[in-house]
Amino acid sequence: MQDRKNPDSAVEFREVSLQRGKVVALDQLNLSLPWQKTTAVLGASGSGKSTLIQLVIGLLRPDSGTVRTLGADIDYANPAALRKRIGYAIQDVALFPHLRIRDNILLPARVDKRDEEQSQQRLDELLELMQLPADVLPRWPHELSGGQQQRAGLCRAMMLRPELLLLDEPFSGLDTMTRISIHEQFLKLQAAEPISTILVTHDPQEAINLADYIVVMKAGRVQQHGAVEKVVAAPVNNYVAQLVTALRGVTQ
Amino acid sequence: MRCSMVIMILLLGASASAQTIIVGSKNFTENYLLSEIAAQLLEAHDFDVERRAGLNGTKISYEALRNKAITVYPEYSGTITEVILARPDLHDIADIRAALQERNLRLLDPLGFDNTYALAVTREFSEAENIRKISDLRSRPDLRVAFAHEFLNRADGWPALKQRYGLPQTVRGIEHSLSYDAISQGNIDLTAAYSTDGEILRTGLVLLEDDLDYFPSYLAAYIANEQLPDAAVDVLQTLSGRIDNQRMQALNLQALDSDNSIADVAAAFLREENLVTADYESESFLPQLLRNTQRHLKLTATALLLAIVVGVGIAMAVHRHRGLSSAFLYVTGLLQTIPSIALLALMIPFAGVGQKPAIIALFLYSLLPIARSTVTAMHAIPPAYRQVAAAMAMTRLQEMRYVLLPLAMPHVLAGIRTAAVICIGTATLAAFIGAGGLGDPIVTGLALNDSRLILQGALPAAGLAIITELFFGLIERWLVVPHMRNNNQPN
Repeated sequence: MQDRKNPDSAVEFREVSLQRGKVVALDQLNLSLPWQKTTAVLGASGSGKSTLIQLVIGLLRPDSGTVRTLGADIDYANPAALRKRIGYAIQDVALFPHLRIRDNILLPARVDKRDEEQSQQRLDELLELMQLPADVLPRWPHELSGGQQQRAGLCRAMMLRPELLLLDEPFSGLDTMTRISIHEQFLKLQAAEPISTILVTHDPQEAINLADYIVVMKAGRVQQHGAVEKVVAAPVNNYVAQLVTALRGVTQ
Repeated sequence: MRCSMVIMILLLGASASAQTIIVGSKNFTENYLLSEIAAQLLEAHDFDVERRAGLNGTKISYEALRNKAITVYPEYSGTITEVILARPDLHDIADIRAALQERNLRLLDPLGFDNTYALAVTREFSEAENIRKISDLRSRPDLRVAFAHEFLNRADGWPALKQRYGLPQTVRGIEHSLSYDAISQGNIDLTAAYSTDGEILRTGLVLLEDDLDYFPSYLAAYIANEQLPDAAVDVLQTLSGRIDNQRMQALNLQALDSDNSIADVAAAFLREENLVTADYESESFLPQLLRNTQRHLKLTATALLLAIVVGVGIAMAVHRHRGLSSAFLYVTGLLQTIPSIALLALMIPFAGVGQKPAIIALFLYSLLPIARSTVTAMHAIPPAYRQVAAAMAMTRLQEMRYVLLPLAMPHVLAGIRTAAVICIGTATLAAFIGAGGLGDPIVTGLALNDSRLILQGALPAAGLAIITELFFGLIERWLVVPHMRNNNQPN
């Protein structure tokens, strides 16, 4: 496990630039994200926030600059070792339609050839934490409600006890009530198994509810980053102010 | 890949043993009959005989003989000099025999009749229009004329005849066996006939006199390669000189009667001539059906298996690359546009005659549906699934096994299913190049204008196609989860 006193950050971007097609997705990004905190990357679509998360796990490679994940520069020739230490969940299509829920959640363990019995125990543990009833296990993903699917997706991301959790809009597309209840579960999970988390979202409410630390992005550039309270209290520009003003009443 | 090549070689190897005499025939009545007479006579002398009937034309039959896909078949002297040797200057049987000897082929003694080409009109037409000689046609450019394709194109056929007599007509091509219906129903006025054809008696045609002595003689004789044992040559030589023109016309007419099978007519002839004493037991319907079906399945299954391995394999290898996959689909699509009978004929120079070229042609036909469905299936997989797979650090193989194959399976299976049905249909045409199967009765039926025979091949082939559909339904149930099956897409 990582050392809390380690001055290194969980994830660090140094002068990272990346073009996707003709669009500049990220422009000379410098950023360090802390250990064992939840960092929300907040921005509209096209702001570069999903690109950022794919850079962290080495699915994308920057045109220039370096990305350090979990204390080391990414080895792009051989990213498997790093990826096995990271949990990854994305919106909507997170679960494979041809696998039952049980097999979806156990898949990372099977890919890594883990002991089946221990994986079963881990599965039970995760179900408990995410408050998923065991009777969803033999069902197909499309038979579950949106909220249950997202929870199953989270279980799968947590299967191998990752050191870093990457969530790309995991709770979008859910109705408000379901989202609030999933948020509660997520906070409980974080309390039970503290883990460095990067959460990409376009929803300021979600960012403020779940994160300790916030990165506001627009057009491939970081507008502001810092502890949630600081950003909410003192937005540096109009864009950030507009995003957080509407929420001030809610958080206070 | 290697495994299925081995299977293919085993399948191909199993069918040809050295001692078996394979008796071939072209696809018209008289040739079927002469071929069957030879086959039964050899069987009566305890030779192992296999029949490869209905080869589509001289080129294919000759290639088959050269490639030892057949051992012997009935040919005509004029065809040998014009088409096979391209030596129209040869007329004497001894000279022809010597020329064939140089190619390690053996010409037996002529059977006794001369089945030359002749131009035919109906008796009424001949009398009404006063047309009795070929030269009478010069002044009649208005006649509607249709010839069999082979006659239209061969050097001693229509082009040279037209030149020799200075004939003004324009002509169409027609399937030989249909030309008699066409002329007796008044759809055409003039066609080409074989002078011993039983249809001439039945349809009431008269043959126009060849007053410029243009047509070479077409003496029938068996032609064989060196695999025909000398003892068998002696047996077949007992037939020489036994069949004159009238006898051949009568035999042909008997064979045209759909109550008599070719085998029955041949057997009756051999008994009348006291060449065979025992009763001939023709192969009964069921074993014949089973044999044809088995062969048909072997052809299609081998071709399909190869196409699955190659098609899915290449599609998997190239699908990540847009340019390569469209090039691959373009080439397989191009193959699909070649008419099946032409593709089968194109195979002959490379692969000879028989099952091998048929399997290669069927394989090429199956490639497109399988490759296309696989490439489409791979492209249809949402990139998010691949991202998740990559984020789980799956190896290429694990990605295939856990993600790509199961997601692509419904599409791929649909492609294989289509290919299988196409294959079963197209394989009926493979009989034209001597591959056998359910096309055998169809091709024979077409040549003899016998719809009962055609149905004996067509119905089982249709049944086979339906069974294949059901079979793939079962495979899908086994390989694809319920909500992802082709007939059950959730919306």
